[in-house]
Amino acid sequence: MTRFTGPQMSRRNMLAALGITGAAAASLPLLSACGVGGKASAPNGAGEVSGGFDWRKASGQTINILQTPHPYQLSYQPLLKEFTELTGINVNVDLVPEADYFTKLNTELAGGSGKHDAFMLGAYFIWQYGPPGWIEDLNPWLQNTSATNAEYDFDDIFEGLRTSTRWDFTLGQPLGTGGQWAIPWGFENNVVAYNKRIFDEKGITKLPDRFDDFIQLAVDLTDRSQNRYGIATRGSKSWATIHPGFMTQYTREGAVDYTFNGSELIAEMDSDKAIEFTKKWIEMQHQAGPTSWTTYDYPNATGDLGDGKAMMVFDADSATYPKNKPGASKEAGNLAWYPGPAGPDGNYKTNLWTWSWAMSANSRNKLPAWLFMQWATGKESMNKAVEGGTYADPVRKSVFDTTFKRIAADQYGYLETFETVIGQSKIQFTPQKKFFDTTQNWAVALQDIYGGDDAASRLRSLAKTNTSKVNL
Amino acid sequence: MAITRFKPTRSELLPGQRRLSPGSVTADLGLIIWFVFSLFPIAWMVILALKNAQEQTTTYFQFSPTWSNFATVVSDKGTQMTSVDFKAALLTSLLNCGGAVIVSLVIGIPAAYAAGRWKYKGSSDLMFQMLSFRFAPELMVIVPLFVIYNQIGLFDTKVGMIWVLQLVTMPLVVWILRSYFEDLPEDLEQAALLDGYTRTRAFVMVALPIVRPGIAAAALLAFIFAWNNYVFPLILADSNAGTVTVAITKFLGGGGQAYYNLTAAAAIIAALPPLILALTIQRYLVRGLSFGAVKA
Amino acid sequence: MTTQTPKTTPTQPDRPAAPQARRELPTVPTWRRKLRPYLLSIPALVIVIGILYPFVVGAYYAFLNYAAVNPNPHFVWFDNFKSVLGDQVFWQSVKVTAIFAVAATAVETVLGVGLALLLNRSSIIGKIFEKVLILPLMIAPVIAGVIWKLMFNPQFGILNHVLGLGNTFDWLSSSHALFSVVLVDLWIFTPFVAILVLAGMRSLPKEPFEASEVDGASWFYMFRKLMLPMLWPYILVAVIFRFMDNLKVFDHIYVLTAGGPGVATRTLQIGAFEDSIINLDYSRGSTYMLLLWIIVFITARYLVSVLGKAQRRAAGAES
Repeated sequence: MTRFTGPQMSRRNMLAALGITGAAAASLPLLSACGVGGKASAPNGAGEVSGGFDWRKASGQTINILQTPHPYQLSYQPLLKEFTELTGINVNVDLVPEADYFTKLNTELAGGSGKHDAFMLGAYFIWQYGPPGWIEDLNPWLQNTSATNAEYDFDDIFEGLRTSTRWDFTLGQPLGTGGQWAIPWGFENNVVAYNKRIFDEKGITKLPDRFDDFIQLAVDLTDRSQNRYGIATRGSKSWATIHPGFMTQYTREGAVDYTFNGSELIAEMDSDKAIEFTKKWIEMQHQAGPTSWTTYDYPNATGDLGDGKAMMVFDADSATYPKNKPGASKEAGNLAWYPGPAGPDGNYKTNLWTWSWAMSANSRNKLPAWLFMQWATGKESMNKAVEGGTYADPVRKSVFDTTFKRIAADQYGYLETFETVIGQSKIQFTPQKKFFDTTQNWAVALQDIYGGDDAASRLRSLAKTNTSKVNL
Repeated sequence: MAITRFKPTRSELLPGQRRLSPGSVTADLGLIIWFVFSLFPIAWMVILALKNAQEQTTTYFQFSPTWSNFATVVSDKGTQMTSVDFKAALLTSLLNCGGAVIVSLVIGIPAAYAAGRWKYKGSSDLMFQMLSFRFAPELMVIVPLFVIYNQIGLFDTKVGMIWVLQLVTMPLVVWILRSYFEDLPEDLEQAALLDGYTRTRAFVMVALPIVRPGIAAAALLAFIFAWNNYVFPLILADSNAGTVTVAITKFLGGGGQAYYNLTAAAAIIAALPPLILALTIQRYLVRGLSFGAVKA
Repeated sequence: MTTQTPKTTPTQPDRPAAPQARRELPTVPTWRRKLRPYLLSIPALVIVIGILYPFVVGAYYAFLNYAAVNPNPHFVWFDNFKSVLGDQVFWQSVKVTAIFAVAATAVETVLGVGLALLLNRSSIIGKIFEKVLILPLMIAPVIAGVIWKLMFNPQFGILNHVLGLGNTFDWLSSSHALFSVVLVDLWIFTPFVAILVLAGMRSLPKEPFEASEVDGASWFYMFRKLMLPMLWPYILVAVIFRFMDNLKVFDHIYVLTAGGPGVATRTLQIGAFEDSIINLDYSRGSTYMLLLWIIVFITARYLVSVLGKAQRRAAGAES
């Protein structure tokens, strides 16, 4: 794992660089003088910790953490001072808006400044930040008993989450082996939330168990004259359009994104099952989806359910969960959950997302950062956060079984849905380093098909492009 | 030479126009159409800022207004949501943008004067170089700038922000003022020199007052563009030098929740300083310049 | 037309009694006089160099294969350029950028000059509105994008409601998106053009117009033959700034459509953003931006020379 910093410029080559207007020739001496690449990798910090565990081991130090606004972040904000009391460590929080979060994080990690010691991370980003060596492997930390407290109980975290945050960055190798790159903090199952009040009014008692019935229900519920439509899903130009409902149902219907033939990944978005599913999905958007589907992002999709405009949403359960609190939205109190239609063979494979904590490999405060991370993902603080009522889903089975079950008991269908899918809920994508590029291409293809392109040929050209990109 | 200040004796019409002709009524109608289009989104933003969470996307014009969004934005609750003290961010923006504009004026006025008055060899090249800053796509410089700033310790500092905002303010200042300096009648300065003043005093007493509207316009526009700049403060600053424009977007929320009402309230508060500046400077923008470029 | 009378010229602020009046200009050594403009411009030059440096570094990336997945980049000469120039999506983005820039600048200029003309009359309505002309500029393009996206939403947006378009009209569909983003751009930036042109209008000499009026010329004639030539330099400054900015447009379009649907609004800087920031392929992103910069540079060079000609003509028209 090489550590990658930006080009280092000395004054000598600053002056040299001034004479250049982009002409290639003169840049040659710059290349080596610039020190691009080839830096020694920052060593893992776990080995330096010894002497038994003590919460106050790093007392007096300060850490910087990077977060994005989220119900998780909001739930933990009031608890931060408890952490400082417990450990004597000061925490500086920097918040970056969701739309720009990864812009900021990508630049900071690529630039190697190491300013933020710990940051929120989504699982797919491990595939991008891991290979250049920007994040710290947390396995050594977990196994060091002087660094991790005895009650931490890492295995209490749901297995699908623990495996989803481990990879060895080898093409074709599935998730679950290799380094532990992040600690899951909160997660989401992608299931269907619906407006129970309307369903009851219309006398719908049996929820559709197969995809075709689901589409039919969505169409039946659509009444444009009432500004009401059946199903809200994301459609904006982003990888995030593929990841929630689309990927979940895609997998349930038996399609895969890539197959590995021993040496290369082959894109399978143009398999027969995939084409058929994609056609149905897009048609569903036309007939029963939001009018401006191609601009619909995360808050739009869940917002319409809360507003009573969308009758169902196929997206993260944790996003619709807060909307059911009194006063949170117009339809608060009327929402319910169910796993969505099963696959043809009855499976409930589900794609999940987890916000996790990762540590910067260039951090200069690794021990206090690790103390923070284990506190934030520990049983005590998580129980408290869940009590707040907007935190879903907790990553720990113990917290789920006790506190969360109690708090969420009155959310109709929520817990049953969770129990149904949790065994088959994991990251359904094939891990690869070009995830964002190829998955955004997939979203663009969906938008093109929505705009009228022929699905089969568009998906074939997509698969061809992705196959060539993913193996680079 | 007696020099008197011009006072408009009557409202200025376009050459050839008469008051209250059918032309003038249509003209006023045209103005009204534009301003309805122009002000409607702003009015709507104000309305949005007065709505509560339930009503922000479910009502049009009938709703129960509340001031709580404004209160939240500037209070501790807002700080908890965004980890930014909004009031402090306002101050930081003022320092960053005001500083940037002042630096641009201090450096740009002499440069614009030199280029406009004398058109020395290389002046058009330098002027074009300055304009070329605006060509540099921001994203192109952002990664190198991030690395460089971290190396020389300018990351997340006000000085660093003022420096990088020159990319935005300097071209505007120099180019707008160059036009004004080019139009400057030389005789006035000659007259002052003949009266025994040094060149610098002549410049300050004669040239500057004439181009004051130009300076006002340039400074105002530069300030606004610097104030509204998003990419640089986002990447090159965290909490120390973070501007208010970035702080606004932190109110948008995340994880599937959206607080458009808070964002609108924050945007309105953030628009106040440039607005106040614009209203104060308007006198200079609006009042006619001295006329008559007396050209021999 | 020349006048000799010591006409209305600005009042000098109260100045102290003049030192001994001399009757000839003070003599200054030639070398000092020649050096003066350069001395005045040195600070500006320093800033230019300071900004040039990261720019050159950024341009340098385009010749590497520097990406996050490639920790040891090496020189690849023009490979990136070949790859980008051979990419159909790149050319589509060029087309989108060109259409957007030309359309937005043209509309903003025409509307801005028109607005300035109407406001110059200083009618009562004009005076009131002039104070609020600048309001849209107060809203950062990013925020304007957020607000307009909310207004465009067919399900709950105010526009469809007020215009009676119902909840099935999509402003940001693949056929409408480019038009809608131009609309947002002109909403924000037409006041910029209007302010510049208005200030210019107010600085024009009145004699030519008064004389023409006496001669009985029509309003339109005066506008075309007198006002426009004198106004061209100011209009062109506004055009240059708007066109350059529109070629690099990013903020509000990204919020509205992220460059979609498909590639309908994918401008060059959005394409560069996708490469650099989303895919962490800095070299490819830099290549995009270097190409964009070249396009902007050439266009600007051309426009500036036009500006020079216009200024010379305007100077001629005034005399």
